[in-house]
This record gives sequence, C-alpha cells and structure tokens, in this order.
Amino acid sequence: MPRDSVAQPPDGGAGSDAPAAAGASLMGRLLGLLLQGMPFIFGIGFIAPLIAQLLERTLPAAAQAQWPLLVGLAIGGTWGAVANVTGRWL
Amino acid sequence: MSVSATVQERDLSALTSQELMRLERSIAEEFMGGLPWGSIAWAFTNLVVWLSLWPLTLSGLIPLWVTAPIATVNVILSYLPSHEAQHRIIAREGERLFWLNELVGHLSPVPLGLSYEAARLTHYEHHKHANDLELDPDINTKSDSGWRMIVKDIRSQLQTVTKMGTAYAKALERLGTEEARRAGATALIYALATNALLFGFAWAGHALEVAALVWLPRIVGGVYIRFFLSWAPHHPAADLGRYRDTRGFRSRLGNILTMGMQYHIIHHLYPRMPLFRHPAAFRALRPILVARGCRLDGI
Repeated sequence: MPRDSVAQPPDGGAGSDAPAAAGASLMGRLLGLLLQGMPFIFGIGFIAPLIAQLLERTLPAAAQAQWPLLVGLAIGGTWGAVANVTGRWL
Repeated sequence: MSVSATVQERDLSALTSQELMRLERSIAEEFMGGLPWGSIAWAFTNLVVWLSLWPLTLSGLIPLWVTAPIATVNVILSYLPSHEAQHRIIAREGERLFWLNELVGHLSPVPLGLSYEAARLTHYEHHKHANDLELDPDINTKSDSGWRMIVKDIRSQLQTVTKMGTAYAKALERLGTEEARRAGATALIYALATNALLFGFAWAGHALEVAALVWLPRIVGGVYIRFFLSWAPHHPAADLGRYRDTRGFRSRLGNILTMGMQYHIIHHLYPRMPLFRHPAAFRALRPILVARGCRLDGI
C-alpha cells in the first residue's frame, strides 16, 4: 500500500509566485522532517500509551499511577528512536 | 448455443493466433457489462460493519478479542470492491453511475487506509508491467514459495519505510502527471491522518481499542491481501506477456477464502469483467487458455 509514498515535497512549480513557492518549500521541508521523524513520533504517539494501557489492564494496582505511562514513554520513545536510526522496528 | 458452449468440444489446434483471439473475445464478451451489485453491496456492508465496530468497541460492548478478528476480515474485504471501481467496472467516466463507481472506490478501502487514486494509478502500472522487475509496483511479493512470501512480507513491514511503499511512490513519480502528484499527496495525507487517528485515540485512553480496530487488522489483513491478490496469482512471477504473467491456481482454501483469485488470470485478460463472473468465464475460456499455454495449476 502506498502509505509512505511521495517523499517529494510539493513545490511552487513554474509560474507560481515567489512567496507561494517559498511557503510551499517551507511546508515541504517541514513535511520532510515530520516523515523522517515518524518512527520516533509513532513510538511516543502510539506505542507509549499502548504499553501504558496494557500495564494498567494487566496490573489493576497500576491503574491510577503515573508509572505505567512513564514506562510506556521510555520504551516507546527508545524503540521509536532506535527504529528511526536503524530503519527497522525489529 | 453460445460460443462458449461450442468451444468446449472444438479442436482449437488448427486455429491461427488471430482466430483464437477472435474466439476468445467473443466468449469473453458474454461475461462483460452489467452492474456488479454484489460488489457494491459488499463494499457498503463491509464498511458499515467496520464503522459499527467503533462505538461497540469503544463503549466496551464487545471485547477486543471479538473486535480484532472482525476488523481484520473487514480490512481483507475492503480492497476488492475498490479494485472493481479502479477498473471502472461499475461505471465509466461520463456514464450515469460514475459517481457510484467513485463512491465505492473511495469508501470501500477506508478500513485499509488506502487512497483510491494512488491505488488506481499504481494498479494500472501493475497491469501494464506485470512481473517486470523494474516497473511492476507489486513485484516485491515475488518469492519462491508461499511461506517465504509471508516471511518476506512481515520483514518488510518491520522496516520503517517499506519496499512496497517505495515502489508505489516510484511508480507515481515515473508517471509524472499532475494526477499522479495529486494521488501521491492524497496517499501521504491518508498516512498522516491514520497516524493522527491512532495517536489521538491512544492518548485519549483507547490505545488497545484502536489497535484492535485499525493497527493489528491492517498488519494481518495486509499480509493476507498481498498473499492472495498479489503473490498467489502471479507466482512464480517469472514470465511476461498476456498469457504468462498471471496464472490460474487451485487453493486448499477454495474460491471464497481466496477472494476469487484462483481465476485472476481472467482479470488480467479482461480487466473490466466483474469479479463475480470470473469463475464462469474461466470455465468457458479454459480450452483457449490451454491452447495459449497459460499456467493453470490444478484448476
């Protein structure tokens, strides 16, 4: 599935005015940065709360505590950062 | 008596290639046209079931172990109605029901998170260049055996940028049209929107629920789709050409669980023929396929 397709940022193209082209180029760069950092963002954005929720379900005593989320952030963040560097999740 | 009925008893060896082609087309014509209501109903029923899972799961009315397999089936079933739309089988541009074609095309693959336009353009490239190592965007499923394909696919999914995603992006880039650029941008928006959805629900305390509704089903369903829709009908993916780039095959899972792909060779010969007519068309065309040297593995 073309889920990570189009790494090409949109450019202004011939005939577009300079501010529009600059804006588009800036947007393209930001988008590029966002995509480059996506594994880390995924680690924080999804894996971390997933681990936290798993811990809270399996250990009822942890339901009101902060530590499951901290553990989730530590694992998710680290995992995502490693994936970002190596290009692989495992 | 129809042409397809008479061909079963004829000796085709004496026919020239052109005569064989004329006969093939006249038989195929019997199975073309008409509105594929089955596929349309399939698209909307499947989508409604998947959407219904959201409130049922988020409210805790059904457990996650029920949600995940149903959502996985939804993901698996979401591609083919859109595939019918990609080939304008429901209606062509300019026809009265073209809006319905596009509606099915866009809505049906929502559980899969697939952008219709990107899927359509890259799928046309697959048809044009099936099994071409450089130009077929689906060639990454090529493997010596089914098990190797599954292992290879899982390995690929563990990469942060999949080979398949790269192949689709390259195909759109090669096309280089405004339409392809738009399709690529839409695919990117779909990917970002999917992640935003996952992050939003996860941080709202529904990470497991959204994992069961979207994340796991797309991983598992994706493997299933690529196995039966890409690897199996093109295996061994070694030959090029109209009669050699796709095969017929018999699966132990039967025609329903393989989503009709045992007869995928018919689709490559006549892409606008509705999916539900492939088995009958295959039986009618079989003598010609044999005469053409097609690969028909056990079917």
